[in-house]
Amino acid sequence: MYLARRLFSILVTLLIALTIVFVLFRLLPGDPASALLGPLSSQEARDNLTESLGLDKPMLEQYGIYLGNLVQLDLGTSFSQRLPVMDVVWPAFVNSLILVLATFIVAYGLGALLGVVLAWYRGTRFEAIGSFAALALRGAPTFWIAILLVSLFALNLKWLPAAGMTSIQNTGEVSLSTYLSWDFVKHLILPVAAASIYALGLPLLLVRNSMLDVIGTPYVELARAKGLSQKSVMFKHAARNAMLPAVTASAQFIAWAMGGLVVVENVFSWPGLGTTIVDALEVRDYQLAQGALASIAALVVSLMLIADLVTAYLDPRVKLS
Amino acid sequence: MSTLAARLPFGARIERFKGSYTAQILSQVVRDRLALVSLGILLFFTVIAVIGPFIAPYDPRDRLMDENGQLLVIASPSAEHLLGTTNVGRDIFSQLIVGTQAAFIIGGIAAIAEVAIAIVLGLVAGYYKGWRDNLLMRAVDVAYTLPVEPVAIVLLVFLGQSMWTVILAIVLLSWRNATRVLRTQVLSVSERAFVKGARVAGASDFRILFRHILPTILPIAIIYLPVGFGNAIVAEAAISFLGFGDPELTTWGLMLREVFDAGATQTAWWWIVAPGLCITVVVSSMFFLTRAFEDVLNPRLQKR
Repeated sequence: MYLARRLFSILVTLLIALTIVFVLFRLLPGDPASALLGPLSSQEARDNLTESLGLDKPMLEQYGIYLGNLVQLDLGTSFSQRLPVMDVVWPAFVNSLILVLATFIVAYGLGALLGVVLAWYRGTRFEAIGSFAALALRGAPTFWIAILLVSLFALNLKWLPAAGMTSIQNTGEVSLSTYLSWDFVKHLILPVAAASIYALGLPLLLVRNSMLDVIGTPYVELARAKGLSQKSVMFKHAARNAMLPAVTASAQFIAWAMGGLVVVENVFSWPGLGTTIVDALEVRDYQLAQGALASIAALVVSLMLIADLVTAYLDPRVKLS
Repeated sequence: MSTLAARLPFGARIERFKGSYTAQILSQVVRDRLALVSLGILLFFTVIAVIGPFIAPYDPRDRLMDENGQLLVIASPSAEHLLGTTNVGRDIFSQLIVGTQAAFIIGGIAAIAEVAIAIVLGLVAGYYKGWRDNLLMRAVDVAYTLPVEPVAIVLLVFLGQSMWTVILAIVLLSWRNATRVLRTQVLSVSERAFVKGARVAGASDFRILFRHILPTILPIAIIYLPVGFGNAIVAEAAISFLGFGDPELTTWGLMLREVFDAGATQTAWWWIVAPGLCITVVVSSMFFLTRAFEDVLNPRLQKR
């Protein structure tokens, strides 16, 4: 029941988001065909394009066609790539998803662990410096951190590749073995590190605060009174409950991640949705940009659904409210 | 009628001046050394933002030559050019100073607009409940599915790239955070005795909202000013870095794009470090100040 309700509400959210994407791409002032073909194009070429894009039809009909095509996963054709938008967007979707999930695992794993450790050392200089660094780093632009990491670890020390997803240049062929290769992992390290440096601040501070709340509660006192080791009390008893606020905040991470990753992907030329949308807008390939933006919205919505379900699983109280 | 409400024993004023809020914030900021330092840093940057264009040694758009008439391409830092020059011969230090003004204008206006929108929407949703609340919360949900940077750059391509469209794009995409929090706050305050009392006394909705409820949520709303300011500066930097900002406006983000495009991150490390550091220092100072505010609002945190 809970699942059905969440699923319905998230589908409605997605529908509205996709409608906003549709409206957004009709905000373009003037005639899209002449914007695409340039001022020197012939009237006939423009008319043909307008017709093939379906832009001569009434707005409501265009909207209907748009939604109908979306259901069939048809996103139109990309001018700049001369391919169906879906063929361009789908691999980019997968590449972005990998980047987001890897960042999530690193940022939340490391952030939660550091949060527990900082709570443990509360009141010490170590804790003060740790909290300071976590908050200070949240003020640093992700792309700036990314550039610094590239300069240091890729260009200066030459430990890791500076850009791209694989060392083999643009063969276009990406298979499962690509994602499982050590080469891919090496390309993944710097982008994930750059994004995580920002993203781990939130789980760190949340877990630290909730750990401090939990430490004073009777059940933790009991665990301590039973004579369990400090480590066991901290990680087995206290930390387990202190994780919840961080899990709940993962929706916030997802909303940030897709935006933040646009810049990270650009610094590293990572072939994801962020790179796709920027490249598409630069050459005014609106069909592709619209498809990429719709995919980003779809990705955010599906990740939020997963986050909801995980929260509900971990905290059964959520299902009741 | 409305004067009657104001005279009620459980008026909002009692809530508002629980030991002078401003005084509490000030004492907290003074006690929290980090917040004090942050305040100092922000005051310094504010002064730079105001007088920047007058004290910058060069015009940040001027292409400078050396005494032999040669363009100064990526000159190293020197007495004349404290942070050297760019690949097209512009003085980096001057760009940094002038960029401060853009950062403060964009951050300031975006933060104020964002909090103002959040206050109004939060009041309406939390007070009237029902369909207005449902509608607004649905809108917040939808807004969360539209990440700031990709949607902002699409908007900017369509609306044109100027400082005002950048601010508009940032505000359109960031009102969600504060709105959600303020609405929750209004929801709980609306159930309190002094609000019910005012209603019984016949105060108008408008009066209840702005005279009784608003003062109680204002402290929380104010917290979102520095947060919004910081986030707006970072968002602007990202937008400019991607190449969709105002191309005529010297901002820290545009400086970072120029150094990245010039491929000079290796040779001229000062060029890449300076603007990024300015953003980081200003934005994290805002965050440290926010934390001091939060300590005032939530005294339980202070003991830590």
